[in-house]
Formats: sequence, C-alpha cells, structure tokens
Amino acid sequence: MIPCTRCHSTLAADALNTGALSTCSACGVTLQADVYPALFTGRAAGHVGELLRSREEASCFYHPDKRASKPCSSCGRFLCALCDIELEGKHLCPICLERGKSGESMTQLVDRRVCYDQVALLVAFVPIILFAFVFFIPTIITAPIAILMVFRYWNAPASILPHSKIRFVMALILSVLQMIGWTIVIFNLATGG
Amino acid sequence: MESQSHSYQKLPGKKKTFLMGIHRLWLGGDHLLQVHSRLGVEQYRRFYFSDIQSLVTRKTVAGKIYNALLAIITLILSMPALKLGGGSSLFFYAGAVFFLVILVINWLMGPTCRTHVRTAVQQEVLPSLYRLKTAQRVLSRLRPVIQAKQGVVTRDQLVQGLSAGRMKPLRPEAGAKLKSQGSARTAATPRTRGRVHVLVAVLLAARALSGAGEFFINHMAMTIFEMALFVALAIAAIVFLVRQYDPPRHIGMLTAAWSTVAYIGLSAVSGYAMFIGMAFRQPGAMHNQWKQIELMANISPMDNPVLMGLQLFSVVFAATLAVTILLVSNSLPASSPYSGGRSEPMLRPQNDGRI
Repeated sequence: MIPCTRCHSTLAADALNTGALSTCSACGVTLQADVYPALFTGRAAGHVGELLRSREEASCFYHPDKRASKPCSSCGRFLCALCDIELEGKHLCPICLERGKSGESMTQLVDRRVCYDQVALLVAFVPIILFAFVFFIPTIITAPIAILMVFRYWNAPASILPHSKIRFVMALILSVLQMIGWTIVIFNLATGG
Repeated sequence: MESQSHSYQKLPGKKKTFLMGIHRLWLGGDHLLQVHSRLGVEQYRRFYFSDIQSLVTRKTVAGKIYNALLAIITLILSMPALKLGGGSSLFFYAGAVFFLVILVINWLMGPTCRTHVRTAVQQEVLPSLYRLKTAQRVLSRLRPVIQAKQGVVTRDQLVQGLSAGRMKPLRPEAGAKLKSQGSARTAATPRTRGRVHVLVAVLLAARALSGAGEFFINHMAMTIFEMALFVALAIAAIVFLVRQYDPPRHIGMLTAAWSTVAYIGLSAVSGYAMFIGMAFRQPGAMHNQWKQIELMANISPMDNPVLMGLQLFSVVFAATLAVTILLVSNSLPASSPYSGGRSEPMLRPQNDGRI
C-alpha cells in the first residue's frame, strides 16, 4: 500500500498512477502518486554460500569452509556467494569494495566529494565582498591561498557531475588580479608615492 | 569512471538552503542522483530505477503562507509610506516594492509541494522538487525511464496488489518500543495538539494587536498590559519550546517555538536598549518605577522612524508567528507519528515464503 505522506492513511487505487493530481480520501490533500512494479516484487533472496564438499574444491578466501564461486575482479581472490558483491557487472570482495569507496576510484560508490574548483573560487571571491569595509586587507592572504589551491588541486578528482575547469580559471584570474593590485599598493607605499 | 559524469542530465528544480547550500536532482543511466552542494562540498544520494517503488508529490500550503505573509508585510510597509513624507517615506516605499516583487515572483512560481521517493527500505524527501509544476514535470520525465526498467503496473495489478496488502511496517520492534512508552505518544502528537501552542499563538496575536494599537493610543494602562503580556508570552514560549523536544517532534512546530523564543529575546534586547536610552535622557526618573512606566507610556512609535520600523517589525513578526503556529498545528494529522526528520518509517515487503 502507498500511504498518504500527510495523514499516512492508505491511498485508494483510484488515486494512483493517474498521471495527474488526485485527492487523498482521508485528509483531502491534493497529490500525485506514481507506483511501479517494484512495490509488489519481493527482494531477491541473499545467498549464504555453499559448504565445501571435498578438499579438492577451491574455497573462499574469507570463508575457508565455503566453496568459491567467483574470483574478485579487482584482487583475484576467490569468493563464495556470501562475499561476492556484484556491482555493475563486476564481482568484488568486501575489501576491494571498501578500498574503491575510500580511494574514490569507483565513482558509483562515491557519496561525497570536495569540489576544489568551487572552494578556490569562493576563497578568491568571497573576501572581496566580505571585507570591502576594511579595504580588502584579508585578500592579501586569501589571493595566494586561492592560487595555491588552483595549482595543487588542478588534477584532483572533481565533481561526479558534468563539470569543467572554468571555476579554477576564474579563481586564478581573480587571485592574480588581486595580487597585481596588492603589488601596486605595496610598491606605492614603499616608494612613498 | 570519470566518463560517467557525462551521462548525468540535470533535472528541473533547485532548492537553496542555509549557507549557500543547493539541492538538485540529476538523471543517471540507471539511477536518480540527488545532490546537495554547500561551500564546495557535494553529497550524493542514489535511487536506482529498479528499486523505486513510488514517487508521491503532495501539495502543501507553504506557498499560500508565504504569499499571505508577503502581502501583509507589503501592506504594513505601505501604510507609513503613504502617511509620511520626505526621505522616510522613500525608505518604506522601497521596502514595500521589494516585498511586492517577491510576492509576485512567489505567486508566479505556483503552488508548493513536497515530493517523496520510496524504495523497499526508505522513504526520502526530494527537496529540489518543492514547486508543484516542477515536480509534475520531473515525474513525467522519470515515468518512462523507470517503466523502461521495471515495466508498467496495470490497473488490475494495482488493485490486486493493494487488496492483498503486500506491505508491512519494517520495524515492528520499533513500533513496540514506542507503544511501551505510552499509547498517547504513538497515537497522536500530544505536544503539538496540546494547549500551549494555542496559548502562545493567542498571546502573540494579542501582542501584535497591542503593538498596532500603540500607533494610535499611548496610555499607561496599555504599557502595563504589554509588560504583563510580554512576561506571560515569555513563560508560555519557554514551555512551548521545552515540550517540542519530547517525541514525537514536528520540525515545523520546533521551528515556530524557536522563532518565538528568538522574537522574545529580540524584544527584550530592544526594550532594554530603549530603557538605557531613557535612563541617559531622564536619569532622575530611574529611581521611581512608576515614573519609568509613565515615561515609557509617553513614547510613541510615530515620534521616530527607527522606533516606527521596530514597532512595525514587531507587530508583523508576532502576527506572522501566531498565524504560522495555528496553521502548522492544524495541518498536523491527529494520529501522525514522528515525522520531523527527512526519513520516515520504512516498509518492507511481506514475507511470501522466499528465504
């Protein structure tokens, strides 16, 4: 059953998959509900792995008493049905899966990314707005930091979404302009001009 | 692996959050990607098409509340703009026009909604789909994609599946634990259905009315009444806030409680600042409580544009809070369980004999 997300009473079949707005018969709220076959299909049963029948059979690396069914696509270790984790056609062991996630080599497992291009642009741009009332003095520190970030993280893994290096370029241009400005100011102060 | 980034398509809808946060939805090859980006850090959540059981979008009253609030603020700012002259009226005109523009934009964007995606193990809100038109467009776009993966549910399958009652609550032990804490907490939301929030709303409305009355009447009785009202409101607001921390909580009421406390704090600070100002101007009166009240009663918001602005803000904010508390409490179902967080109680398929 699909409950109404407001009153949690079951929605009538007439209110589902209409492709348009309908009404909850209990609370009268206007809603649109699209239901798919996954609602009615149970989850596939997990496999616990078969026990070894003879000593000649290959055993799982992590469960020596269970029969190996697949090798890990990453490290080659033998895996039983319990250890075998299928991901986009590959068979992985839990260790390689964890390594892939923590090392961010598998983007399909990445759940968090620091986008250094955005950070560099923020470091280059925000102090100009925030510190305008103190003659932009903090930018003498933030501009070099932004430049360092651009060069340090140019090739770092970026967003998994479609992206370009434009933010890095903008941060670099902005920071360089700030540095040029500060150079002129310091030169004028030093020469008494 | 990085080539996967090019397979994502941006879906309509964007929701901005605190500190430059943005919620967006992207369409991947085999999943829906929810992205929350804030200050250069992106967090991802994937909903695979083969797992999606339903997508439900429900209309909410938030848009109407925003429209009402913006209209009230625009009217309130228009009044002194029409009455005053010179530079002060320009300030209020600018404010009125600003809020009018926001009102028009909000009205044009259409009604608001709340969209949930449900799988076998979770029900999550999709924050970027908070406008009904946008949500319907996205649902229309997702429908063929998900149907291509899962197939189509016919009307007969729907009726049969629903009548068979294939779904059960995921955590019966959690339900049992809640029941052991007392049936009142599982059945209703006693903290939000109790009297405290009504009392707070009434006191806020009274404060708004008395504040509006100060523009026309300045009398000691009014000042004493306002002081008593403030004390009563402060006590009620604290009780209201404390009660919101008992489960089950509702995020809307919690926000309203904190807003009320913040309003009282700001009122106290501004009142204290006025008192200090008065002390400097009339030090002789500070030894006599009655004289102090008399002096405060003689202060009118019409004397000073700053005072007028503060008083207007106080009136509008109090009225808004009162209306919001009543609207939010009325929108809560009597038997609603705790739904303060983004995730809601999960369902799991009925055990059909398969291991």
